[in-house]
Amino acid sequence: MKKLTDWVNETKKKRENMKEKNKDPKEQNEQFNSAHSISQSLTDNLNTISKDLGGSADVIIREFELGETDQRKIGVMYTDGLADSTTVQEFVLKTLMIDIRSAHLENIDFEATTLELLEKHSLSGGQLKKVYNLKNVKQHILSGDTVLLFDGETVGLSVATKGWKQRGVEEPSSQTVVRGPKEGFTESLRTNTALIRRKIKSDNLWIEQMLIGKETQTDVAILYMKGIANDKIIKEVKKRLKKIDIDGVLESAMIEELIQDETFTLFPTLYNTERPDVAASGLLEGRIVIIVDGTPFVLLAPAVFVQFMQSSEDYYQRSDIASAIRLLRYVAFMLALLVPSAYIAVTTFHQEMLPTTLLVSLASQREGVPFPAFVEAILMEVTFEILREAGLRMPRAVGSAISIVGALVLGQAAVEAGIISNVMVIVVALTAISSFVIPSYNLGMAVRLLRFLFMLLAAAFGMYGIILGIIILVSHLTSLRSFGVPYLSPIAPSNKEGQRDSLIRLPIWALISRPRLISQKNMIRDETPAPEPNDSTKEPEKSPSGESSK
Amino acid sequence: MKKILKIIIIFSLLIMSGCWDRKELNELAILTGLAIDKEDDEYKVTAQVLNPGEIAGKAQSTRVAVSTYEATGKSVFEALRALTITSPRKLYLSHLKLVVLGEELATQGIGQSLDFLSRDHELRTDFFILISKENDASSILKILTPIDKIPTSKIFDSIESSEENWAPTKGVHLHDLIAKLSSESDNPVLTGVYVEGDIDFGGSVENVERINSPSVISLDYLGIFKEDKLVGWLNKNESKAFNYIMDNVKNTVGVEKCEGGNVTLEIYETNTEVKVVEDNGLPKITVKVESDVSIGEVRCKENILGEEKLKELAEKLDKQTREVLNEGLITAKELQTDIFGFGEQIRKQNPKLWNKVKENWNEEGFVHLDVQIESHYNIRRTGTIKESFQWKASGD
Amino acid sequence: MIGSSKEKISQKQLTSMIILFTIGSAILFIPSFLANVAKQDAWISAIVATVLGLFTVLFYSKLYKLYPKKSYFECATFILGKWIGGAVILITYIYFFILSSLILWDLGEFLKTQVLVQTPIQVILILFMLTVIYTVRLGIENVGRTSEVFLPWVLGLFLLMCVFLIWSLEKGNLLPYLEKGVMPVLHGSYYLLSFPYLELIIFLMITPYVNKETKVQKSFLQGTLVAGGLLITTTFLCILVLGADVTARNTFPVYVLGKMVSVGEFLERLEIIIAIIWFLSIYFKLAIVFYVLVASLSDFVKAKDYRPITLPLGMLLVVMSPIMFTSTMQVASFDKEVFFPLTYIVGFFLPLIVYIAGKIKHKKRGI
Repeated sequence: MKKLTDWVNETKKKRENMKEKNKDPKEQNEQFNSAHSISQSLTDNLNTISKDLGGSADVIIREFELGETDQRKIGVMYTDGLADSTTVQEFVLKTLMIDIRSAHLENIDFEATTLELLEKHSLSGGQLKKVYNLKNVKQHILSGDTVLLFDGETVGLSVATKGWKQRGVEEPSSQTVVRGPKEGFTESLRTNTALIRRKIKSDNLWIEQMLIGKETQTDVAILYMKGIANDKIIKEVKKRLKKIDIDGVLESAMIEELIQDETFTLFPTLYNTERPDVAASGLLEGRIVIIVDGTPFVLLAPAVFVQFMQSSEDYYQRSDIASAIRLLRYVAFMLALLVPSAYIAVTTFHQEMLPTTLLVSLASQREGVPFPAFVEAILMEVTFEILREAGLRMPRAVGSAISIVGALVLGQAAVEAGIISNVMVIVVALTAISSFVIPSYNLGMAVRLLRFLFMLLAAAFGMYGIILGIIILVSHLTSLRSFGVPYLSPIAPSNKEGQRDSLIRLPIWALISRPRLISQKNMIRDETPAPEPNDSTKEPEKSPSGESSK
Repeated sequence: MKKILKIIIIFSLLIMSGCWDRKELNELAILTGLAIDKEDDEYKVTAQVLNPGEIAGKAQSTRVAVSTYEATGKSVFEALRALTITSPRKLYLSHLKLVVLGEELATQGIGQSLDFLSRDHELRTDFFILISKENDASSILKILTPIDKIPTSKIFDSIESSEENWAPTKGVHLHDLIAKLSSESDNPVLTGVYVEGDIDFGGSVENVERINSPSVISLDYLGIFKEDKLVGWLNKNESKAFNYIMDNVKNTVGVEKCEGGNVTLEIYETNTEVKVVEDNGLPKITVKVESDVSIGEVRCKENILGEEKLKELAEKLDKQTREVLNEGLITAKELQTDIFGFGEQIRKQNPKLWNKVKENWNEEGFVHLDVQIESHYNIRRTGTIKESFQWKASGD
Repeated sequence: MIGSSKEKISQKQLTSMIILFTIGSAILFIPSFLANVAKQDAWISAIVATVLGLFTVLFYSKLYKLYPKKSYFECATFILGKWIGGAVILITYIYFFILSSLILWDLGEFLKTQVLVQTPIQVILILFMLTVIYTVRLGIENVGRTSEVFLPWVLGLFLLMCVFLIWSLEKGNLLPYLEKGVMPVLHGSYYLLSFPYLELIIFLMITPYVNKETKVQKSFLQGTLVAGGLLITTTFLCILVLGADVTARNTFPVYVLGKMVSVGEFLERLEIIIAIIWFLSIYFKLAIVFYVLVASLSDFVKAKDYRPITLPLGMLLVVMSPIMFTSTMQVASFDKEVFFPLTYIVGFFLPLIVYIAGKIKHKKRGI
């Protein structure tokens, strides 16, 4: 591991060198970009902005005079497509060009500047903000607001006119449920915060926002429950987010990679979800939600291993059934991880473990297969992974063709040709199906990769290799942390309260406290008494004879 | 970066070269039966090896499902390794089901040939050990059997089922045998096996192409040992007696005479207790057999289902059992070998007494041992019908 | 305190480490050891030794309470001074070194005879040692957590094994009780007490990490009791199923026990369960001993981090183990003539001296 950190340091150094080299041109740029502050001359300002934006076709810059007599010049700028055209028309342009003429401005202090006048009396847009330098002006324009600049003023005015075509709230495609809310996050940050706010109407839900990405200027929101979330973790999340110095953030996965605790692991240490209910329940458990504008996938931190084996539906089904299904998932997890390697180990090292009849039938299938079991397994597993990847990236219409090719041509034909034994096909199929049971896609990926490692170990050392592999794997997992929270908690370090909702899920009324290591204060979340059979709603038994005769 | 490379190289060296113990399924000769004979001073080992493709494969031909290979050597281990000359693949011993020892070898002593079986790591302990009666041990493995394509597995199953339902046989595992051989107060028995019919014909496919296979493998009764040497054979009743005393009987039948025919009883639960009492410084053994039986077949003229009659029947059974057990006991005493482990029982229940009598136990103590046999039968059930239809038809 | 002082072990982790350590390599060898001397009374030996073992760990926890924030080595130098304490430490350190080579030998012996017969023993040992090195580098806290993950598996598999064996018990194998008197039984207990109970002295090197001082004694007792229960049950099962003779004759009677399982024709050939239990427990035993070895060595040379010496020391062990121990017979006699007496010295007499000296020191200060 140390070597890897060395490598990281090296790249860091390189990066710093690069920065130093780049310094000079940057300075030149800044000189070229003229002063940051807004100048007194409106025409100058508009020219500079137009120049800075390279005269981009979608940025609309208009200059006109306000009122009939009071000939004050005013500049209006917005980006076509990002700003809602009706809002711009109705609340900005129309107000400034038409309404203001008919307005009765007698009572108004004419000494006031245009800016104040407009800010206080005229503009009917919802959100107004003052802008003090050209950089901000550009930023506002490019994020969809309409910016007004005035002749003779060094302060501009930004009107919130954001509004562009966006996808509506739809059913999430990645984490589907049979029972449970069907809405999913969208690409719009505001919609997403609203979706969460609609579920948690508490004043404790705090939302902080920041811009990340030097070029993309992406909005990133941090949501947490004040008083439930651990302040240290909040601070840590903010610290790590602030450290990010990258040109662009296009997906929350990029943020995830930049703020996770450990880079050199296959396992995800931040949870991502497309479902508002999962995000909300995470918040209530004291987790911190990070929403990145432009992606429906929001991040939850800290994340622990058991979380990746849970589905939101576990809480919407009866607890006993949910527990059984969860256990089934763990079984599937192990199958997906170990079946091919166990098969290799048993058939090439420990044949004595098989009952004689099974051994004979396996051996008869292996007759004439030209490859060792290991090669056979690798061959089939790789083929399967290729098929899966192909199916994933293909348009839907072609997808079915791939499954036909996979099932018929590769599966059946390979067996009939005697290249692959039947059992191998069963083994691969079992692993494949098991790996689909894992609810989290990124954990599934980790399993996919690890499977090959285990196969290698099994091929060289049989069960001995597998067991050593498991020991290393578990040690690695226990050493992982997500924002300081041990990855395998509440299993190791064990915590009885936490285990009520980990491998199994006890009834909701028994889930009294929040996860201890994650929340660390305001622990009690549920004080509902266990339902009692002698509830008052149950009618007292009357004489049965009278009732039944009817 | 270099360090990473180093680790990768070390790891891949370890893994790539780590195939010392790998053996592919299709490189194995799965050995299910082993016969050991003694020829002069050498051991002749016969191995029965499976041909998986003929047993479970899709395209089965008419070739035989098993083949045998033979080799001789100064020890069992050597002979087994010598088999590689003739066997096409490496012999794989873990699935051994049966070891057949030749009668000649058995009379000379089996101890020496067993060491390998318990020492080798590939061998498990769940195979049965048999003695071939009359024929060579190797001939037992050369007979093809119908229904079950693997002859050894046929024998294995026969032992298990006859042990459960018939009583005069006993499947002996290796560790039982070794425990008895190494004990001074106990002597082993092994089930015999022999070929009925033409041995040479039994090895050809024709043998299993007929409905009534001309040569079949048949289990015989128990061969009894003194220390590790075969000294004699028990017949059916004596074998049964042995199993009764050893509390091995799970289910068997008994036939008892009655007026005009006989009645067959199914003994479905027996429990034997061996008690040791000290009597004038000498051990005295009480064997108490308690059985639950049900009526399996009635061929009597008269109705025997009355309470009185049943009691009579039970008493007759008791008497018969006592006789049978005595018969077995006498045979063992004649051969001067304590196969019943009475010495072991004395050691367990009264170690002090055992220390006094253990000198020459087989020849003296056991031969003069006073053994009391008690037997008690409870007739609990009458089967699915009560009174036999024969009584009404013939009685009126 | 040795190693990094930031690490914390919970009481539960200490308990599970003690359990796994105690089962360690013992579970595979002990029944045969005991049956060799005590025959069918091996299980009585096991019970006696376990009771004595409980007293031993009670003594250890008393020793711990003298200076809860100091490891055993630090205690020794603090109480006995630099020279005498140093001697105690040296002997104990050598003992730990031999112990870890023995553990490696045990592992190699088992794998080489039962599972990977053709594989060179060096490869087996290097692979195992690399695993241990990797996990020890992650810290003792991590080893503790890992033990918490694996303990339920070990216990569960063991229980499963016991359930499967119920069908093949023969209670006659236990008779007669105390055939040769009490001496053979005590002789057996003598072995079992030293291997593994007196080896638990090593935990006094780790106890300073435990986050709750008051719980250490409980952990010691609980861990020893559970592990002792497992050892007793194992011995008991071996005698009941295999009989004293077969148990004594086999090198790995428990493995044979696994081969004996046969429930309903399909649940058979379960010796792999035994192998898994054993691999896990022996891994923890070696990991703990190895951690103490590297951490106390780095402490001695006043290094900040023990990690750099894990690889060299680990490889030294891999090389030393096959050199020190060459054959099954040699190890058996080494165990009897050198190692068990040494264990009594290191695990009992030296700590006793430290304890008494410490008590006197306490009293003097008290006055």
